[in-house]
Amino acid sequence: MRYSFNHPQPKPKIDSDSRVFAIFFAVTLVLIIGFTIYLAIDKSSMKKEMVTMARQTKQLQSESEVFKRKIARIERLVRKYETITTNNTLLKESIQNLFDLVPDQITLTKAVLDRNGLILYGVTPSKEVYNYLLLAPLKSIFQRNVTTFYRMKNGWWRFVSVNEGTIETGSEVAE
Amino acid sequence: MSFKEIRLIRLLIWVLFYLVVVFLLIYFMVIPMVSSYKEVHKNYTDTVAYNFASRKEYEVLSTHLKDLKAKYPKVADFDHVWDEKQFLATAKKYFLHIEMKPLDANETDGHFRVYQVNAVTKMESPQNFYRFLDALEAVPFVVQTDFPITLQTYGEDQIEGIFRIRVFQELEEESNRSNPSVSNR
Repeated sequence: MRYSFNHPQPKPKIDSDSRVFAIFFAVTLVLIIGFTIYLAIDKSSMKKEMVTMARQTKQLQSESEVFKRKIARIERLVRKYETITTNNTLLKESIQNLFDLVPDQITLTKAVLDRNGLILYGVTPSKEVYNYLLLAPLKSIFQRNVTTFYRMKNGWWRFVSVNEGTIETGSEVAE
Repeated sequence: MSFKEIRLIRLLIWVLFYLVVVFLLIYFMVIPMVSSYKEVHKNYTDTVAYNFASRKEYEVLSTHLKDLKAKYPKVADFDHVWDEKQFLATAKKYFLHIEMKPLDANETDGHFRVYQVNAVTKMESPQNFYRFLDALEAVPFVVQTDFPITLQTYGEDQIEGIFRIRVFQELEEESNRSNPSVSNR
């Protein structure tokens, strides 16, 4: 004999409250453990990247040191080269200036330029021409001037002019 | 005890269990992981900054070196070994005759080996000598003309010029020191 229209249902092992709570609990667990795993993976990836970067940094620093040495070398060579070029230019100007000093009336037969002075050999129509037109400018350049004259058959004078003093060419190449 | 009270007590036990488990997880798992992560992250940031600075320095030095090489190509001539024939080929353009007499091949000047050569030349006018001095920049050697210089009349209309030439070549050990072998990155 039936007393109800409903069929009897087996009693659930977990009641509805407990089921909701278990799901909530499981979601929380998943979130916490997931977050921790994410941190662990990220940490491990950073560590690997750090090792690679440290190796790369060491390599870059080593190459930078090489570059620094190369730059220092080139700068040293440039300084040397500029000094040499300046010396060549100054030497050329010294010779040009020397020949500019010689007036048309006087003929040079030989000129010896040394770091400590200048020796000129030449021919002049008279001592006065030499003294006024060549000796005067030579005196302004050199500290000591000694001239010896030899009379020639045609009445002109052969002279040897020894001039002592430093010629400004910067011949000593500085490092 | 009613069903209502039993249900409430069960709920309270669930909440208590939940709180205990969450607390334990956070205290023993999350907090140590976060603190170690923060430490690693700090080291990572430092490493990235250091790497960036090193890369920047590398790039600046590399550019500077390239610029220097482009700006001063002549410094490569310090590596060239003195070749008298090659030099004479250029010098002959400016003199009627040129003869080289080696003076000293073993002199050193700081980081450089210096070859000293005496040049005996014949020219038409001092202008030839000036042009030769200007042309020294074009020869593939680093050459300095030096004292003593003698210019004297030769024959009717020629000048004999005798001067010293100093050729600078960088000592090999100096150039090798700045080019040590570097392994490929």
